[in-house]
Amino acid sequence: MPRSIWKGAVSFGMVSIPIKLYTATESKDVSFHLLHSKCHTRIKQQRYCPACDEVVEWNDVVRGYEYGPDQHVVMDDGDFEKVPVPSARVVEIVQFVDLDKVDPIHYDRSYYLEPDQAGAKPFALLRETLRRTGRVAVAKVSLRQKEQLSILRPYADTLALETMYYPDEIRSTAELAIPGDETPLSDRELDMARSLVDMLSGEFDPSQYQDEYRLALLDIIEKKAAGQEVARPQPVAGKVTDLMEALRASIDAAKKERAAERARRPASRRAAG
Amino acid sequence: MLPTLAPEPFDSPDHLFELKWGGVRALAYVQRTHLRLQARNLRDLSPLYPELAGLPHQLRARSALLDGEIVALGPEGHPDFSLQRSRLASCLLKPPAKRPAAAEISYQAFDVLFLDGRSLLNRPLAERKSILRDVLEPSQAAQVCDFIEDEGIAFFEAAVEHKLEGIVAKEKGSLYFPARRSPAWLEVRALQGGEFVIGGYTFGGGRRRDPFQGLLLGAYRGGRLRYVGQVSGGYSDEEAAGLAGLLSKMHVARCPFVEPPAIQRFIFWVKPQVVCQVRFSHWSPQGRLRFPVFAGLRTDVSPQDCFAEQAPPPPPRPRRGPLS
Repeated sequence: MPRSIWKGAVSFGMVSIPIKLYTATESKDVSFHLLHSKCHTRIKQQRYCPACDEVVEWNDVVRGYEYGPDQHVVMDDGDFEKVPVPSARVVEIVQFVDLDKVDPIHYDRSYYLEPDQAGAKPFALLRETLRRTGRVAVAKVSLRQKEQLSILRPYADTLALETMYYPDEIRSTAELAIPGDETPLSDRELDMARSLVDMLSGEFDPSQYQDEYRLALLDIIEKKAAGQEVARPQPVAGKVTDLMEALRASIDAAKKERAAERARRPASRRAAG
Repeated sequence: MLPTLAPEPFDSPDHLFELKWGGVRALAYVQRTHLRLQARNLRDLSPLYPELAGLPHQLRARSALLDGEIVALGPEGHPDFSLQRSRLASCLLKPPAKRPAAAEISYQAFDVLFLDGRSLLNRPLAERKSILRDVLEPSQAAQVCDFIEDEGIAFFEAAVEHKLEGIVAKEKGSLYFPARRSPAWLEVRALQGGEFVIGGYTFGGGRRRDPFQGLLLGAYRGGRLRYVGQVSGGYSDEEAAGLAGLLSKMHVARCPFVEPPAIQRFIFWVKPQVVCQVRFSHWSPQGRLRFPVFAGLRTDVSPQDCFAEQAPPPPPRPRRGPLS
């Protein structure tokens, strides 16, 4: 059973639907721990103050806003509490719009909605209505102390909540070097490009794409973990095989000699000490 | 793919260790029943080794490209390059009057690069070794090269004890890079030896009526041919006569070395095309070979492959995976 990350209610007009939110996506990037090369222990992060030359614990850390070069306004917990946050726990629908009018550049993270038992019927009603009208709901929701703009839309058998970036958080393309609309394009060029696009066109089927890099990386990790048994060649009677056997015998003899040395040494040290 | 030098042996679970055979490195192109043995300088060696003609019949595939070494074994079962010396030299010199001692020739295959039209260059070494084992049926003439795991140091010491040339450590996960010198393969040498280009010879002097007094050797560093020393021993009378005849047809007016050696003798400069094998005691601080001894013509090596390693590079530790 996945754990919900938020509990609240969808509200619009007189309707209030109690729901839970669940994250809809997870990154499957291969993650690594940072280890000390000598002993392979996980390293610990420490915070260090160069002016006081001391390690700083979390309870001695405060947040500061940089308003000028190296000039900070220090904020404490009390300051953060003064920010008016509209009543939490509500997904407040403010408008309904057509889905294709919302540009994907706005989308940030996705969540799934699950209604409580009491809200099952109004949830199904909202879902069905959105499906039939082809519209989505623009809503405001307070997640993690911040009021998020979001879209509520039918997805699979539930409703998905897509949090969005505010318009002033979306960068303009004005500072990029983009060829303008007046760039001369001949009809032939356009036709050729068009036929290339047609040739590669098809239905979008995400299941045909795999993270090749991740699979290859996991393969390597698995082989390393298994100690990589490398198959030894079949021996053929002859001088070369005899030579290799002689070398292996030398290696084994040297190993036994070293083991015997180690066994003898502590005894002699004990006798001397 | 060629190894880089490591100054010392090491133990490693990520490497496998093979003998440095001191033979002739050759790629074996097998196409049905046809075999072509190709040297590092791309010369076709197949006519020199009729003993290996049966290799295609040991292959459980229609076509393959194997990488390995042609090894000549002496009576005590040790690899001995000098047993191949006259065969290699015969590419440039007249074969000697006396037939050389019969040598037991065997091809030690240590890698497979292509199999039935599929490239294996992007498969890790461990996998290529498995495939090689399945695909080559061993015989006296051609076998899959054996290797040791983990114990590089003990293996090297055993090799030194048996007076062998050294060992090669290869990363189990490494891919194959054709014609590249790569740190994924590390060579640890027990004896000092190398391949050098003949850039000239000195004339006159000496007790016998020698055709030449000494050969002037060079090696490439930074793209230029540098003089590394003079060798005046190690060749038989016949070899010397043959060499003199060969070199007399290759005279050039200008010294091929970046700096002419300070030798008070009459020197003939030659086109830097002939490569020879030389054993020596060590490198002098000035970058010269000390006590060099001629060990045969390398008609299988091109001059550009003779590089001057002044000192082996600082110890490259067995590589770790990427930190992510």
